[in-house]
Amino acid sequence: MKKLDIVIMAIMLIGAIWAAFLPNVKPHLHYLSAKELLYEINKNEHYISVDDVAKAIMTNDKFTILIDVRDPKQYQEFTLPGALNIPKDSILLPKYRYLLNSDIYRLVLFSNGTSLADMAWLIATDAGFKNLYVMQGGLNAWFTKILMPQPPKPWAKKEEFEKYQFRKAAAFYFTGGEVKETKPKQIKITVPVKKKEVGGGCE
Amino acid sequence: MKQWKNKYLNPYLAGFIIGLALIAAYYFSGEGLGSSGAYKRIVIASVDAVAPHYAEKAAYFKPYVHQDGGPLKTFLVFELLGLITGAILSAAIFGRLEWKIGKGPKVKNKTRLIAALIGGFLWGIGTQLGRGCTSGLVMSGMAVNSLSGYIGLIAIFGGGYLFAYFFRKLWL
Amino acid sequence: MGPLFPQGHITVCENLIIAYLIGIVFGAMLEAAGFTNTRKLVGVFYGYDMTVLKVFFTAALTGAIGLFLMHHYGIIDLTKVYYPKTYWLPTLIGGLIMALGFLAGGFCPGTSVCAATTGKIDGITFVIGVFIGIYFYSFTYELIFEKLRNSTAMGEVNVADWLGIKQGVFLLIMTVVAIASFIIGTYIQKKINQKQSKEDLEELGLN
Repeated sequence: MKKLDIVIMAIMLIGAIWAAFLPNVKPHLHYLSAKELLYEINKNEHYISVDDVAKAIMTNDKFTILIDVRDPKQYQEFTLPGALNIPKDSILLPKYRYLLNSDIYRLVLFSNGTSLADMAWLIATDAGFKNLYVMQGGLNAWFTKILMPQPPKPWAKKEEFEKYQFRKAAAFYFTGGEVKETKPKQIKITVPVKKKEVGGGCE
Repeated sequence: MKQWKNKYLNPYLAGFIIGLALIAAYYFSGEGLGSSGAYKRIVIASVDAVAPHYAEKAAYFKPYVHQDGGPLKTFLVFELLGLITGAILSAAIFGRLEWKIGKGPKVKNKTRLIAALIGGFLWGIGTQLGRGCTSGLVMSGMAVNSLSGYIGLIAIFGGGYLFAYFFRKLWL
Repeated sequence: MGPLFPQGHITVCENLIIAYLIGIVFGAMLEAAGFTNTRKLVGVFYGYDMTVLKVFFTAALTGAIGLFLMHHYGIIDLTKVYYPKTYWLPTLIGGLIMALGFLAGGFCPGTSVCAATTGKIDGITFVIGVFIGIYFYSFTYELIFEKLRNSTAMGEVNVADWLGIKQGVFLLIMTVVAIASFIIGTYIQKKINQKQSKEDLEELGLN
């Protein structure tokens, strides 16, 4: 071995030993300022109706992902078809970061009413995640509007009747005429990871 | 310069400097070194020039054809141009700029060239499936501790040792 | 703080010029180390020339350790650089195909370009082969390869995190392994070449 060889190997070894004492490189969450958060809240564009959610399910929309933010027990008892379960308190866990950090999917959070989903939305939006929506009215609205739609009053506008027709179809779709239990499916979603602005590599 | 023809730079020094170049690439451009990516973009640019309607729709080409400035305006392509320049410079200094066919001692020229063609073809397929070559997938991947780089390392080098026996006639 | 281009601190043109300059260094080092000589490249698999091992591991680990230290001291933000996504199956299969290509062709895409442009006809043939391979792949992509290539996506996976050990410790382990392989490799090379002719070793620059 020549002297230069040993010098270079020594440099690498010292560098590596030094590195061994240093902390890990971690992907960090990009927290919003209070002003930015207020802006996002006031935009009020993050609500999605139960009709739109029903439509997404019925048309097999691959770009909408439903996320049940209640606890696992409630999720097991009943949830929307194809929904994943990320309890509100777990929404910032690293393992969900890929899913939430999406550029392509529309992530719809829902709970029984609206407040739990709203809380989850706030937490996640504050951490910098985008493309998050809340299903307005939650599962309560789902039951009353989609699964058991009420016919509009005779003097209601045309759109109300059209909406009612849609909801009747949806009700049939989701219950098949009888009351069917929607069991949460173990869906394995291969989520294409968030597209970074930096292009590169030999892909 | 003739007497330097068989003198090579200390491998550790060469490796160290390449490592520094790798760091520079990440520091300035936010991406690592690579080679197969440049080949890929040349292929895409050529198909796009000849048959743009096909390129717009086909799954392989689609993501790259409407890029700002065209598929060739990227780090990797310019790096490839630099690669060529650097190689010629070094070869000129060492006196290795000559027409030659490198091959194993027991092999005819024709055999060597056919084998090179086949080997290249395999790399063409392999780099596209594996998402890179030794520099892009493995070396640049290892530089950021990516699992993909290490899988590539084991597959390429492990595979090489695994299959080496069957190709020994070409080299020994 | 780096990386400069993704954060807009340098322009597209500056980025491309820098790419060219870095490429010159890379190409010069590859040629200077002897990688335009296909026999030197393949030697790592037969034990008579371990240059590839030394250059490759030194480069990869110097890069990894350097970047890791730079990140810690705020010179670069590694969360902002391009990070490859891991698709383990197509990468594994692709890698094995590349291994076969290495043994048959005696080059890899980068070294073959260096060889081709410095007059090595086998390098030129190899480069042509790579293009044919990529054209073939691109036209049969949807028919043959698409499913495989997009399968087994794992996202961006850090190998140390995946193994459950600290990243810095992983780098130390890899460095020790690399240095051990250098020592063992040098020994094996010496042993195998004891029976080789002087001219042969001359040609490989190993004497």
